[in-house]
Order: sequence, then C-alpha cells, then structure tokens
Amino acid sequence: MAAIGPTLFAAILWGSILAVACVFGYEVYAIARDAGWLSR
Amino acid sequence: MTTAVALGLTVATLLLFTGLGIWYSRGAVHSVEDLISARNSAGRGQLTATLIASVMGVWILFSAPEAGAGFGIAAVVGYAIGEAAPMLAYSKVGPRLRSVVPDGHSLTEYAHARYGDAMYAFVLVVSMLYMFVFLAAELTGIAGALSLVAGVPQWQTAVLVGGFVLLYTGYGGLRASIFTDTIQTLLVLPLLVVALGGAVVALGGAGAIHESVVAANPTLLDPGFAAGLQFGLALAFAILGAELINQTWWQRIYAGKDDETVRRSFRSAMLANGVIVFLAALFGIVAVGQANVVTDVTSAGYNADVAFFLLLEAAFPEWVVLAVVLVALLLVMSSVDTLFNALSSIVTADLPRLLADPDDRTLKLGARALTVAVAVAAIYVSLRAQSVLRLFFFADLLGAAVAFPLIYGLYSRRLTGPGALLSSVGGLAVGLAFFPDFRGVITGLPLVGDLLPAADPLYLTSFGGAFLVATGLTLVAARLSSTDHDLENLSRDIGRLDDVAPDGGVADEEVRE
Repeated sequence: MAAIGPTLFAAILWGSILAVACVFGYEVYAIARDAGWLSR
Repeated sequence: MTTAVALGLTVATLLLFTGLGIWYSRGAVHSVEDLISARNSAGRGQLTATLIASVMGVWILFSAPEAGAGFGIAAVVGYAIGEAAPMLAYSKVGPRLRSVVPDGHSLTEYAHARYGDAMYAFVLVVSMLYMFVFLAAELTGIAGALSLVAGVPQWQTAVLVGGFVLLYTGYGGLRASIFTDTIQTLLVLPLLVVALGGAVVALGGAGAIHESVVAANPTLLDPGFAAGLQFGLALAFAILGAELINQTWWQRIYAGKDDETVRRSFRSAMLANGVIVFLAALFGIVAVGQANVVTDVTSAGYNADVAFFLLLEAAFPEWVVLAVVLVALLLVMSSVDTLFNALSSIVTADLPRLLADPDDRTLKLGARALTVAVAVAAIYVSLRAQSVLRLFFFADLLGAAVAFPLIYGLYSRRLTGPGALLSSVGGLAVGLAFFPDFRGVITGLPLVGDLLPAADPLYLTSFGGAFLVATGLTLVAARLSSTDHDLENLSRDIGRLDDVAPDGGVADEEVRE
C-alpha cells in the first residue's frame, strides 16, 4: 500500500485536532447539563 | 524554559488542585464508602470527564508518540483502537456488574467471591502490579519531561507531584479525585487543541509536515506497513487486557449515578480516549520529520520514547512549550490521584475479611494509611525508572491472560475458580513463549526452555496469543463444567463497608466528620 498523500494527511491531522475540540465541547455541554445550567 | 519558571508553574498548579480537592471534599467524606467508592454520585458529564482524565496520563506524550514514530500510521490507529476498546467493553460490563454485584467496590473482592482464594490471589497480584507500574511510570514520565524541558531535578518533580496529590487524595478519596479529574479534563482538552494546533501552524502547516515525513521515512505514512499493523494490533490486545483488570474503572462503574449514566459515559469515553490517543500518537510521526528521532531499538542512541519532546525542543515556540508543560502536569495529576485511590481501595475493600469486624473509623484510617504507603512506594520506585518501565509490557501480558476469565464469571454460571485460573495460566504460558522481554529468564526455564519458539519482537503473538488462548480455554472450561454457580450469591456475599441503618443513613456514630 502507498503512503497517504498530503491532502489526506492534512485531513487526518486537522480532523483529529477538531475531534478533540468536539470532545471538549461535548464535555462542557454535559457538565453544564449535569449541573442544571441548561434546561432539559 | 528556565528551571525556576517550570518549578513555579508546577507548584502553582499543584497548590491549586490540592486546594480544590480538599475544598470539594470537606464534609462530604462521611464513611469509608465515600473514600473508595463515591457510590452513585457522578452524572454523565462528570463521569465521562473522569474516564478521560484517569487514563490520559503523561504517557500520551511518551508512549503514544513513540509508537507513531517507530511504526507509523497503522500503529497510531492500533493504539487508538486499543484505548477505545476497553471503554466499549465497560459500557456493557459496567451495568452488568452493577446488577450482579450492586454493593461492590473492587475487582479483587468480586474475584474472591466468584472464584475463591487462588484466582483472587492471581488477580490481586496482576492488577496491583499493572497499576503500580502505571503509577511509577507516570511519576517517572513527568520527572523526565520537566528535566528535559527545563532541567528540573527528577527527584524534586516526583516528590512534589506525589506529595501534593497525596494530600488531596488521602483526605478526599475518590470524590476529590473525580472532582479534580473533571476540572483537569476541561483544561487539558482545550490546551491540547491550542498547543498542537499552534504547533502545526508553527511547523508550516500540514503540507510542510507531510513533506518532511516523506523525506525522513515514507513508510510511516503507509497504512499497510506490516510491522505497524502487527504492533498496532498487539497494542490493542495489550491495552484491552490490562484495562479490564484496572481497578480504576471498576470504582467508576459504581461512582456513576445509574446504569444508563455508566453505559453512556463509557461510550463517550470510548470516542474521546480514541481520538486523544490518535492525535498524540500522530505527533510521533510529525516528530520524525522535524527532529533527529532514532527509532532503531538496538541502537544506543534510541530516543523515540521522547520523540514528542525532541519535537518540542526543535520546533515549538516558547508559549507552546509552556502550554505542553501545563498539559503534562494536569495529565499526570489526574492519573496519579486516580491510581493512588484505586490501589488503596483494592486492599481496603478486603480489610473486613482480614480484620475482625473493623468499624468505619478503622477502615477509613486503613484507606488513608494505604494511600500514603502507595504514594511513598511509587515515588521511591519511580526514581529507579529503568527496571519499572521494562515491567510495563510484562504487566500488560498478565492482564491479557487474566482479563477474559475474570470478566466471564459475571455472565457464566458454569465457569469455576479452577477453570478460570487454568485458563489464565494457559494464556499466560502461550504469551510468555513468544514474549521478547526477559528472554534469558524465559528460555532458561528447565525442561521447556529449549523447546520454545522464537520471540515475537512486535509482541503480537505474545499479547494476542495470551488473550485469545485464555478466552478459548475459558469458553471450553465453562462448556465442560457441570457447576451451576448461583450469581445471586455475589450480591449476598459482597456488601457495603459501612453499616446502613434502617432509614438508609449510616448507623455508625463515628462516621460524621
């Protein structure tokens, strides 16, 4: 199998950084919901 | 970064979290139950946060990039799957455990009630060895990181981190650990995004990074690279086995508010831990393109284990270095407090069997004394790191052999203690036959030493063999057995450690602090 190209590599690199950012967003939402700061 | 700045940042961070941990647990630790189980207390957000923080230690800046630097994108995927798989398993096992052993505390307590003394002893040794090696490696890791980045003497870092974390974990137990884990997760995630995103920009963007990796070693970007695939799969087996015998998760199964919270939180953690490890390991590949990373393990100059920090020194601006040091500290605190409490809770849960009817005050004192003992031992051992780190893969191998037989007893009424133990030993024997470390000892075994196959330097036949053979033998042992173990006995044999009054309160007058 060939090495992945620059476009796919960029998508993987930035995509994984974005995914960690999404995890953070979810955590903030879930903790705020637990604390009753958001209406259910 | 100067030593004074690194030490100042370290002490300020440690003071902040020690204060937070003690503040949060003031008046909340009413009994030994609160110290080691925090039963039904954590909602979905908090439980997911602690499931992330507990396992995401400073190792994600060492071992994960090391795998990426040495074996490329296939190993990166394998590492991510390895970290995600145990969370998926616990999303199923957790609710089952809460149903079969509703008042439980630890995996060893379950092993004793379900399988008897021999399997209990085996699980106790394996679980404590794995967690202790993990703990000592975390302290070694942060001490090494601050020494590399800012020249802080290693003993100072180990004593400071171990000492401060001990203060709030010893006082507030699991409640303090879960609370600080939550805040640490909320800080680590954005710091990781900003630091690593900033690093990509500072290195000229993804295109320039790709170009540099292709120039240095293009096989790292080949998803079909055979050695990478084998090592990635080996990691998946190793991590799955080891995490299934990690008391950290068993404690948090009981800390979740209800079954649904446990199920959903473990599923969320599966995704979260998978992507975090994927990103961390990917930076090992990035490092190869930017710094002089030596990945040949037979070379005296081997330095892939610090690939991320070589990248840090070579190419990161000062503010990124500062952010990474803070991330490393938060990562190590969140896993060290978890492991202090997990290790002490394993023994504490067994104290009622070992002592004659101890009261709650005795158990609380025992839990705190054990936390201190674990901390002191871990700091001491961490300063003799080389031998500790060599034990890590061995502990993984033991976990791979014992995990399935241990868990299967939650589902099978037919599996017996001897059946589970023999299955584990059988898996371990196969794993050891191919295990590349401590080879002189293994091949020196009388009678069988000369007959052993060649070791697998990529660990796949060792870890995979141990896990799959133990699983197969367990299924056969359960099939051949005529025993009908009443699983309902587990809920009768394992009860709360405090005395519960008829109104649901805690009866012991000593338990209010």
